[in-house]
Amino acid sequence: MIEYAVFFFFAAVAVIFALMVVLHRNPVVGALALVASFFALAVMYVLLEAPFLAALQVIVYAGAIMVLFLFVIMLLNLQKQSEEPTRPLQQFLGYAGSAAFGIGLVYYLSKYAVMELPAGPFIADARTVGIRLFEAYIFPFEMVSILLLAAIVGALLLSGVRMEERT
Amino acid sequence: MTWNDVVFLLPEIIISIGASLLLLAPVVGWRQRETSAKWSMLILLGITALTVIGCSYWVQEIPQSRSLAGMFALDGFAIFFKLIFITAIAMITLLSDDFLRESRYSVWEYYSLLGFALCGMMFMVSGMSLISIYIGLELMSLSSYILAGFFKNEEKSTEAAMKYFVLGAVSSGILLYGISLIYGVCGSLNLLDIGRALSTIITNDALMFGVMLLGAGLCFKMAAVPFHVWTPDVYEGAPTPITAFLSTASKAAAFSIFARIFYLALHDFQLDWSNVLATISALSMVLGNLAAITQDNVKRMLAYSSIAHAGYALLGIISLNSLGLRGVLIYSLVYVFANLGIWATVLMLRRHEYGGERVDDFEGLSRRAPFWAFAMVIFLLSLGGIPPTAGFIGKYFLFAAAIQAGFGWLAILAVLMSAVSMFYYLRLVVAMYLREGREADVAITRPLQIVAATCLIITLLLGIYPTPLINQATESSRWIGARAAIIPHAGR
Amino acid sequence: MIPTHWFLILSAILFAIGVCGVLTRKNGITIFMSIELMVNAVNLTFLAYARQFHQIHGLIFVFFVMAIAAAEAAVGLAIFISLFHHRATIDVDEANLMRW
Repeated sequence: MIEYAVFFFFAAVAVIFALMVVLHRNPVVGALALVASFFALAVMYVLLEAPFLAALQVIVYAGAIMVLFLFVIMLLNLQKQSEEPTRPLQQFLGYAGSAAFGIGLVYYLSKYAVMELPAGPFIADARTVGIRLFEAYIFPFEMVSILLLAAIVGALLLSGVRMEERT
Repeated sequence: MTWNDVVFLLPEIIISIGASLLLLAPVVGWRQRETSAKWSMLILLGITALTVIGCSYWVQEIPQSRSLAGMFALDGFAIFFKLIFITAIAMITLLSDDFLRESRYSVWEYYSLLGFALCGMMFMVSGMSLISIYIGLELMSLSSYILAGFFKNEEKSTEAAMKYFVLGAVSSGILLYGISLIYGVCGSLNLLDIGRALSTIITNDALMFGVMLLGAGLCFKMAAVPFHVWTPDVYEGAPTPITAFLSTASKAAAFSIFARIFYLALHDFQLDWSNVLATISALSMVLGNLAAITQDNVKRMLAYSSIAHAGYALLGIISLNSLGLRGVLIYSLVYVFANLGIWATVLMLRRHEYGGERVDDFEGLSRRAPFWAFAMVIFLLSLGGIPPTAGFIGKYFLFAAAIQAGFGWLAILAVLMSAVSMFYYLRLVVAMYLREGREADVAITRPLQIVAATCLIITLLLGIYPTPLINQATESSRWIGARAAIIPHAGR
Repeated sequence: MIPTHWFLILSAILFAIGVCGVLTRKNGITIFMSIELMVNAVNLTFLAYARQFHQIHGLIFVFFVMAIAAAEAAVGLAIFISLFHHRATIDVDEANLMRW
């Protein structure tokens, strides 16, 4: 029972803060709300018996990615920039479309995705993940490292100061 | 990971190590050497191409051509597309040469990012698991976002990168959600396992959602109609050689992966997706061709024409028969080379910053450069699908596949729209032959000549004598055709 | 043990909120944060199914998605900074040098 209480509490936290990201005008508040939402998701990962991914969620998402977001918002001084409201029609279509999409999805998932959980614990600790990652998934793993290299090169190229004149 | 796996993956390993090494060149003080950058890139591509060909012989000896726990296949389909990608990237390297020399950007990073994009495409087209397909797709897209914004002193280029990035990130989010729902229904990420699971599962709506979201994400990558809004802006804003990359290699990669996923995994999922995709295909052909008529900017015109071509390629995917699969292979090759030839001609006209981008810039080209004007006509005819060129063979297969699969109305629409497309292709021809041009010079450099001449030879030769290409396509599609349970037909 | 479908429903709601943000907002950074929200919803779905099937594949996919999202964030924010140098705004509708 306590599990359900934890689940519903943190699910509510995740949804409320996610709504705040989407609805709040100030991007700094949005970024901080997103951090809170990611923490709530980390709790979900613990409930799903994947403590390793929960730790990664906090470190990578809440720690690294969101700090990067906040850094850029501060660097470009965006918190002062007022965002023009979108046209009412686009606003309405956006809300209506995503609400219809969400309701439809929830309806079908609750209808079709109800399954019995298999017996026995799901082992997904760092050791199991690591062994699988470096055995079967070694090459996709290396591909991702190439991807990170490309991202580093790109970030340096694009965000640096204007191209120096070559002599 | 065994030695066997390493051999299978050798082309990807070589291109990724080579592309990383290119990054080191500026460190040893070679920053300014554009020529050596170009040659290093070409040599690297040559070695990769040879490795792919070598691997294809190796694979023939081993019946089980799957590697890495079933995540990777080096079948004929993958090898065919890998060779197209490598050739296309080599030509884009040649196209970029003068462009980069004039602007003052660092060439080594540019070529290295092209190499990473190629690595992603090659990995993706061999992917047998949605994990490896997703990773390859992201590597390709991420490199393309950076390359689109590479000329960052130009506002247009940066703006193109931003639009491409935001819409691309949304589409990969949607694609991922589709993958997750499919995983939930089928219990596996392997394409063959998904195919097997789908033949036993009664289709339900969660699966429907999943396939639709996956299809939407893929349609974005190939710029089919409801997801095409980024195409004209990105094509216009990106540096011209990168536009050539996006409209050829990147597009062919999207065709290939669409075909692989739908032929291998979703061939039993008959519910509604072929009708939905038929609608998307029809919309792409109509909207792309009609919008292209009104454009005065050649880059935007070709962007809309490439949207229409995505519609034609979808014919081969929805028809789900042997003709369609071969059609996708043939059409991708034909389309890539005709388009690269056009881009080479556009770059010849680049007298100043944005020259060669307007239809007016083509005026009087027949007098200034008669041979290349003639080549341009051939490329345009090939895109339009007129008989003596290779484009006709590609369209023939796609339209025949659609008719065989019972999409006769779609084939008729496609023929009509091809006729419409000739209207704006001929606008360029009229400008070149019938209008007096301003006496401005054209910059016909050796690399551009090589690209245009190669494309011309391929386009004409395959148009007149298509048998080797058709045989090769039949051979290459055999493995996937057998898995998708479509009986291969002999000959045309 | 909480059944899988509760997690799936939560994830669907979060995904829909993310889609809503993408459709209704104009600030590039906020749109990008909404995209991160969508990607996180996907991760939750994957993990829920991975536990359902007792498969490690789904979990490893989440691992890859996290790494790729980090790379994407770096590139995306670099593009925003680059655009800001030109424009002093990251409003996506302001970016109208070329017509839509």
